[in-house]
Amino acid sequence: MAELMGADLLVQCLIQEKVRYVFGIPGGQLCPILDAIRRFGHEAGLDFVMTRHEQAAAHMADAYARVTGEPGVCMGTIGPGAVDLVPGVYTAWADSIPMIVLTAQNQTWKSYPERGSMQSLDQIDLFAPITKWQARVAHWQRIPELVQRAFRVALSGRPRPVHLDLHVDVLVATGDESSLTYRPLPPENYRPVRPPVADPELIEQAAHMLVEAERPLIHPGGGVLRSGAWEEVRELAEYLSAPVTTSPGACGVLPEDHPLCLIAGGYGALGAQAMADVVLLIGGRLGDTDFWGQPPFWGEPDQQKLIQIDIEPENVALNRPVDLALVGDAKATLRLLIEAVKRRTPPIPERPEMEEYRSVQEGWLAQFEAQAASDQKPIHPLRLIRDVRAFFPRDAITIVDGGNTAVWAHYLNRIYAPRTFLWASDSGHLGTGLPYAIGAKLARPDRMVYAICGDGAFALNMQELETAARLGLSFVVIIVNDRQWGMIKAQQMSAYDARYIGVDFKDVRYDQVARAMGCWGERVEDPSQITPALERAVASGKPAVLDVVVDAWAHLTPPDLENLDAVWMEGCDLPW
Amino acid sequence: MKLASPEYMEEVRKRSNADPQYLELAKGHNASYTLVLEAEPEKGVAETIVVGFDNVDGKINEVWFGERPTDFTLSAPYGVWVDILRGKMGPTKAIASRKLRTQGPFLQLLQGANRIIRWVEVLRTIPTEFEGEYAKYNLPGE
Repeated sequence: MAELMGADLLVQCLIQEKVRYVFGIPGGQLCPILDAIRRFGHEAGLDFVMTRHEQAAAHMADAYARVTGEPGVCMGTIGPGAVDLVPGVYTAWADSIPMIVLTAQNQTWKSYPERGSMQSLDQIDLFAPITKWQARVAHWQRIPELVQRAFRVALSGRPRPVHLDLHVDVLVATGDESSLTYRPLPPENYRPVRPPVADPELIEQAAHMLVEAERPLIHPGGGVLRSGAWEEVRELAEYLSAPVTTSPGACGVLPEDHPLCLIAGGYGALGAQAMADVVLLIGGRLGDTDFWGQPPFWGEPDQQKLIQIDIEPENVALNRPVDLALVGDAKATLRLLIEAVKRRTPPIPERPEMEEYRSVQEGWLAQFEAQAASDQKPIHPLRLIRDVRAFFPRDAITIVDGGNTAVWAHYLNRIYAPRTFLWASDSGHLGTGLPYAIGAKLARPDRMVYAICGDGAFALNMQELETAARLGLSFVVIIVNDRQWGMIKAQQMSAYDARYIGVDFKDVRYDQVARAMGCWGERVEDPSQITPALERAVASGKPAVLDVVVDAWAHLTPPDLENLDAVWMEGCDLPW
Repeated sequence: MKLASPEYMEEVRKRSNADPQYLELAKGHNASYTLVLEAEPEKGVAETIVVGFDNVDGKINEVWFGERPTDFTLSAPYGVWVDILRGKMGPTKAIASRKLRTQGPFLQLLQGANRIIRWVEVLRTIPTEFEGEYAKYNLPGE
């Protein structure tokens, strides 16, 4: 058997997992890995994507995972490189995204505890709160075992990032392949190929409750997207004629123009949630963007039964008591649940209340559509959102990055397909838009990709324009340029008597920044020019930035912002 | 005039029925409401106040005092009503934060959210005196 270097073993394991991209910035201690990718990774379909900041690398890996359902892989060198990954890893952690985080570490003989080396850091502790599992790779022989375990843990239960801290002396160490206990193997040799299914007896009980319900409702969270269970959700909903409301981060489980789909957080959805007598919650936790699953936007627990399907037992009843908990994979469990429902009842015809829900939703949307018809200058944010959504095809991948920008986008940027909506929902992390666009386009080159970003959010990672141009990617970033931290300024306006501090920017020509980095760039100030500018942006074949100047005053107060504020600032009444 | 006093409620009726924007939003709306302003003795609001009114095709036809069966009941401590009226928080935020509790068909309440928001704007134009410690927030009216 041949002598193998540690880094080669690592890369062989990544190839076995069919990893296509490792995102990161090179570093001295990472060079053995990069060299292995160069020597034999490329021909096996593995590439290194060099970014301009490690945070963006983690965001790109995150986006890749959201779009494909496979773990994203990112890498940072020792010390600062590892530290800079943290914001992106946190974002993935918050939204239950599988990710493999690789960091280089100093030699074993001068680490843990460190003794004065430059860039020394306890990286295991650094990542502990934002990864579900961490390991030091301190011996050549353990590389395959720990890499395989990292993938197994990242994909088991509630998917989340995991961390491997790789000592550089281990990466360059060599050994005889025959001496390995664990060799680089195909995934079916070290992790489950079929996910766990809930208890069949409980599935029968759930079917009974749903069939007997007068007003059942299905509420998928992000777990449905991770599990790939959208077809099952649709089949069950259509069979039961049950309305489907989603967590805001799970938009796209059902096309938002499906007759049973009620737009997340819209008044039709909130009303349906309040009136349902049985709720089937799938892969969600009823967190704050779901108003904690509490009245008035949900029914009283003694009048509304809750069935919860979740892969993670820890998530059961996290924010509201359950009547029935099914622990198992969403897709596999729903498949059995559908069969159990079908054994009990023929398809249920449309329920009368559905028309009422839709009518309320239409009334809610009508106010936004009326504002979107505006020809005003500066441009009304809803005019921009409407025109952008109308321009791109249904299956385009949408990315949203911002505070108020995200709220405005939610009103009219309809999502029609699963895994086409990328938003850092549980972290609210700003700066994800451009890196997400890069990761999404690499994952699905066949799809059009567009990102709607606030100007503040965009500027947090705009250096990645160079990455996108270098990679030759084509997508459009639409900057909703209001020259302020809008959501915070709105809060200062309403709750602090307009005593503004730290919320206003100078006017920046993001279109010129884009052109300087080899991208297409154009500023748009007239609403009639939104669509022509989008056409030119796409025709450029480049990463494109449309710097759209919007009405800063109008942008400040999306109509439902107060409802979100009520949840986020609950219990924080100001003393005036 | 004192919040929720007879003269105040009569002014509510008059101003609501004279506001074109409110009437446009309320067109076709028929329902009755009870508003409960809960006592806060420690803040100088000694007694709970209960008032009611109806909506007939959007117009307020009758106002009354005390309890009657109505389609909707909205209840909150007196101070929450003050906060809504002085604009510290909007009515939807008060509902979302569960400070203003609702009974009745919630879907219809959501459907009328813009009507309620406008109605509160109309109420803010009424010169209003508040009880106890809340007197410092009295509204001058328009």
